[in-house]
Amino acid sequence: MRNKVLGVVLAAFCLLANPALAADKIKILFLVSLTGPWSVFGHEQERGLQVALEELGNTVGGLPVEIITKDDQGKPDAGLQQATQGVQLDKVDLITGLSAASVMMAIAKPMSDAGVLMISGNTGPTPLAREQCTENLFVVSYEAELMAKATAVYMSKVAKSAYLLSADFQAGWDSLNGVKEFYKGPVAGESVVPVSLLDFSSDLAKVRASRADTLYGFITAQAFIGFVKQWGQSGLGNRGVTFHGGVWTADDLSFPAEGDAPIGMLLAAHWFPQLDNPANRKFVAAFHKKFGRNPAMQAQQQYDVMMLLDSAVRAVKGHIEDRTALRNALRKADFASARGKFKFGTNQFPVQDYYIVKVVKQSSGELGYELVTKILEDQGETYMDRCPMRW
Amino acid sequence: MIDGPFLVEELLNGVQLGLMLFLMAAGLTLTFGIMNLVNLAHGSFYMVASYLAAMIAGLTGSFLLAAGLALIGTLLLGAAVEVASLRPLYRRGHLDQVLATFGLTLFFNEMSRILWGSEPYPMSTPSWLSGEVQFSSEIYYPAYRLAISVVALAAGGALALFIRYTKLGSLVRAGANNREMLQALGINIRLIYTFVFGLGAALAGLAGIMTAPVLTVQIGVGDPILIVVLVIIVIGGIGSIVGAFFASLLVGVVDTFARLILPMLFGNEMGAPLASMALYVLLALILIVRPRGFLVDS
Repeated sequence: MRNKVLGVVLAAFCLLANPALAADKIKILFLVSLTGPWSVFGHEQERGLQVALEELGNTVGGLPVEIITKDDQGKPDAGLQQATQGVQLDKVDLITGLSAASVMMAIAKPMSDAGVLMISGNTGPTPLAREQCTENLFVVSYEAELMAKATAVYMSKVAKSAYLLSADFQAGWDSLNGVKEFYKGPVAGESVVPVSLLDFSSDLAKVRASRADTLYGFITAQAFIGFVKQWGQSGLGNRGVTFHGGVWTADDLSFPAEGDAPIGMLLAAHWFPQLDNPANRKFVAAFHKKFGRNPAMQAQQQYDVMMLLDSAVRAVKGHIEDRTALRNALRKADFASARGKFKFGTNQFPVQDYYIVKVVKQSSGELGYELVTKILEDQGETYMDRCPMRW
Repeated sequence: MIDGPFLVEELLNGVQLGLMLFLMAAGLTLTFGIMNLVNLAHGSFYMVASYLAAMIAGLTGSFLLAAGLALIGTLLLGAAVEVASLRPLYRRGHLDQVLATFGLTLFFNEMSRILWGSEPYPMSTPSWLSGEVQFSSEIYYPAYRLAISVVALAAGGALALFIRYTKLGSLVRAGANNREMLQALGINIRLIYTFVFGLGAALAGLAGIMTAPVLTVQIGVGDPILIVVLVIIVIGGIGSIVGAFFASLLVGVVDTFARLILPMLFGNEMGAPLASMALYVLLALILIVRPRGFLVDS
């Protein structure tokens, strides 16, 4: 009888004692596109994650980390299912990865309402930076529309007449709207193509016929290699038309497949491998050693996510169950980003610099980037006050 | 903006698209016409041929060698698939065939993923075709795209000659017209089926090989094309290669110009979806006038 009472008392003590102890490990759901239209980005994010984990010794902020990798296939319903499973069955502490805008839009509200923390390593849909912002989402990559703004501001300086080409989905709409809002010059024509389109011969013909000297292109992940090759074959680049777009159009992931076609392209980037700061030199060297080439931005973004998380978990001394403290620590963004500097706006999207780089052939014979100019400095969301969060 | 050179270029684009579709349609219409088999896995031959060509080109650096080997490989693959899995389906209804060949598509997609990974596989255009052909001071067109059209025309011509002037070709034609009679005459219909299926697969493979350097080689790349090809063989008449030829050109040009004109007339938001629908509206209109397709002799 006394043993039973003792047992119950001990059990009660254990239950009471639990909340005061720090977690003994951190469980992260790495939800990315490993198959489907954005698989190229998902795999690159995975490589960035690996480099980060190696550097951190498989710990985050001192806590041993368990990564559960799931494939969202680029489909919103599959992504939501994997996220829900991760939260309910695997009991993950937070979700990262997040390659695709459509998946992000599908899981943002349900996960946020359930109190699940999300840190995006790639997608940054504009609606989530404005009215639909939530304290449970941190975006470490960039906001889709701002990348377009960077391109548009530069185009306003150099373009005489522009043709705008975009794809028919969330990130495509965000980018096109961004360009149209901030590009002040004449628009010679516009095309919005289906996401599935692989053959751009008609649209390139329209570009030629429009006599534009500038082509702005937002091309989706599955089509951009084909697009760049077709751009090269079209000869437009040799006939006075310059291509402007985001840096993922021609980066170290796709250079091998694109041949010489990207040379001369002017791309907007918030980061590129040749950026000169200590954290980036370290990251690029580690990536190069592991994978034999320079990283693309998706790897850098995911690497930054892990470094950010590491700093935040360290700041709360491992008490990740205290979500408010963890959130405040994340907001401080007190880590050495390979971008040189990093801070969050009140919408929890980055406030950062944007550059214009030109694709050039380096002395080694390989393609790389040459910095043209820093086009936007400390750029945050244009309509920040549309997000009701204040801190 | 719409000027002569632009229209010529768009016309060339439409014809190239049509000819590429014809390569796929010829095989599919033969299979449907002669063997009464609905083959949803046809797009898989397009895809596998692309992968084979890209892989061999990457290893050897020779486009011609890659194209040749990939073509032979796809022909053999088609024959193997027919012998191994399709024979029980001939007796069964079209629904069973749809289910089974759809399953084959899934199988090929996953097999490709295992063999070649999920990321796009690069293939470059051969350097001797990377330039442009100048038609006039204003009109120029990528040499490689012209090559696609030329090769497709040559393949179509070779197919026509084969069907018309060889004994095997006449057996194939006879089988398209009257399968039962052919069997009653004691001809080894099984071998003919295997051959026809392999030939169809090789033609689809040729389309895949030629377009691989222009588009991207990835999982499932042939499947969306298949839907358009089904429309083509219905328009052209099931079993008719000549019908498939003209229907392919019609579809290629209509699709290309619909995507050009409709957004101009209705703006981008309405025009782009309308352009995607244009093909099926065309199909409906043709079927109203000619229910068996354009060129099928009843």
